[in-house]
Amino acid sequence: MNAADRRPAERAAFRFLASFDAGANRLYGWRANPLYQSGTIVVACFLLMLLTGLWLVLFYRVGAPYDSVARITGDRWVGNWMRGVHRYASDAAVLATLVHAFRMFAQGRSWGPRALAWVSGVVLLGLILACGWTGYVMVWDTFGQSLAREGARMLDALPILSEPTSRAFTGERPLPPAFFFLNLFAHIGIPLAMGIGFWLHLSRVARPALLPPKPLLYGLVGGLVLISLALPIGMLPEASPFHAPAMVRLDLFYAFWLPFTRWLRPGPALLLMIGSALALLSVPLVTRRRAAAPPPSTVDEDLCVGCEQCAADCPFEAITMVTRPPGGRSELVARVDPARCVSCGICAGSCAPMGVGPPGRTGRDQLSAARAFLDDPARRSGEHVVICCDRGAERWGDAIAAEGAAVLPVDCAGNLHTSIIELCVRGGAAGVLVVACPPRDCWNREGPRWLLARVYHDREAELQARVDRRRVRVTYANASEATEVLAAYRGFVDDTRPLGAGGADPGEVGAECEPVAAEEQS
Amino acid sequence: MSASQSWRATVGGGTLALAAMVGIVHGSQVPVALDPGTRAVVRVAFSARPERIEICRTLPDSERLALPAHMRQETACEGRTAHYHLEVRRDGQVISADLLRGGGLRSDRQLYVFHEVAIPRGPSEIEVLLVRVDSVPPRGSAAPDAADEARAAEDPMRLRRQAGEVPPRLELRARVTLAPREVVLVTYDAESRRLLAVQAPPSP
Repeated sequence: MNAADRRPAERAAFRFLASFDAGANRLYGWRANPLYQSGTIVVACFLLMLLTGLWLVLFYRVGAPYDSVARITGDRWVGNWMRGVHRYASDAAVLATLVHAFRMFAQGRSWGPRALAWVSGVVLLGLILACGWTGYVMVWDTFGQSLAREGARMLDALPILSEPTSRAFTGERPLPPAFFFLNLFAHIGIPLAMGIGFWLHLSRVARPALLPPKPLLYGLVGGLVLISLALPIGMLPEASPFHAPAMVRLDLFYAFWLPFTRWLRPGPALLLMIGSALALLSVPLVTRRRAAAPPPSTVDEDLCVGCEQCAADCPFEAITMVTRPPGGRSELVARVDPARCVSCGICAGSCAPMGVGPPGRTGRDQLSAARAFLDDPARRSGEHVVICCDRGAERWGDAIAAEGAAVLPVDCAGNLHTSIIELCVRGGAAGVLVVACPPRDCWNREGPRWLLARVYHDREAELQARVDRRRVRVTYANASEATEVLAAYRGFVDDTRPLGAGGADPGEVGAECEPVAAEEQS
Repeated sequence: MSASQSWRATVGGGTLALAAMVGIVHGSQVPVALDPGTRAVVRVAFSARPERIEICRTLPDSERLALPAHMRQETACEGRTAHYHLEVRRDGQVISADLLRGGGLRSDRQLYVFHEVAIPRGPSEIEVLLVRVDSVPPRGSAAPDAADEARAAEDPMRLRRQAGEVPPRLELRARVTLAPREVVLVTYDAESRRLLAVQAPPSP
């Protein structure tokens, strides 16, 4: 995605996010950066809630909701911290969901084929909040009562119920166990519905990461247990229809809206809630690119050798292999589903014969651009070439260039074709430093992972063995990590200085990728 | 990363994680004054069947026989439910007034009342008045129709319904002393057909 094509709000959000990411990388490293793992943290919290919830429901009584929760809370050995973990995990889930949503917005990953993930994510957030709502009502303390009454008040604004639901909480008669049974049913049923939401949310991505890396997972679970033990959860006074509590301890993650809506009439309060939900749902429309959306990948069937690598690498399952009509060069040919393709270009890097990729960003297009870059009279033999994405180049490209590097910005380092690296080395560069986003921060999901595999582990469209690996390095940095990139660059220059300038005729590189060569590979 | 940098990152990361956890705990229980005032509340909440204003006529045989067998009744009644005026006073001052009509789109269901009015704490004299606004034609009293009794006999459901209707005028006068944020509930008892003031049972 072209950085210039992004709206000011998105650019500002991205700068903000990148700064936080950089700080978290320094503290936790990119592998365990919790900001990169916001989505998987939600899943981990969800599983934690399921486990603790299953235990808690064994001791919950719909006939005596408050007393049964008080009994659970009074059990210092298990009940108290189990309830604490259940509650704090649900809070952490909301927090992580908000970070995740902000991340997708800031990185412009909320529209086009990704709109389904955004919309299902908003629905999931709504379900999490609704589930928390029912969870607090289950306790039937002053906070639960406030939530129930406020919910009923807004529901009464709808002209569909002749009897106001608020009357259930007036004290005319005790609340029946059926109310708490229904509430418990909803509290258990909503997470089941969320399973469908999760499936939809992940339905357009290949190999979704569901859990955070182990150190982060253990840290999260351990931290929640520790905090539940150290700061044990308490009980608020029992709900009473005859006493309005002076002070309520609100869970701001779930009831942030309560202090505001209470001062509004039910109709406007309900409209505010519905309006907020619609505003969130409409983000894919608002963030849609003003200019034409980047076109989906296309396949040059004359070049395609049916190797299936692009289908295997596509992070969005947008490429399938179909049987080619008889007489073709291979049995199978790649086919791109434009409805699923986000134009990430990962396939461009995975195709050895350079036959697939978004128009203008295929391996061949990258090669042409790199040739033009190397043909620039300003280029000197023995230079170090730094290949990085547009976003990185925008932030620290000048600083690297000031160190003497030749900066070659590309759309995404993750869809870099390894031939470009070879072209640079054989064109006389002393070394090629590829600066990619940290793997969990890749806008195109799996770019750095495949890049590394192609450069060092012979994954298809691999960097040829003839390229001296000492002259090539892949490093990770986000757009705000200028210091880290400079340090990596200086270290790379020091390491490659004894090697001198690279060499050989760069013109040979293109021939490697001609269809004939690809045919030989197959 | 050098050893000292790694150590600093570990300490910093751990501290930040702990701070985030503590932040979650505190965010999970933020004290908020939802009802900051010291006022008490009069809550008028009840449901009651409104009187039905009907015009009944005796069906002629020709009309009656045209109906399906199970619908052949002596009388056919058409009408609507009555409207009521609700007024709540404190120490003689009107603090809430409303025109009540039956629930549902056709206003043919029960009256559902839910009003909350804040009043100063302390002793108050609360008066609640519910008065039918519409006039209802007398039911078989002034000029009894000859077929009244027969009709009544064939329509016990109507009689039962009439017995459950709210009286045309209800009045409650109660002297209460309310603590801050305490609620006095004024409700309707369908059995005794009168308004009641209910306060919280005293704490044990």
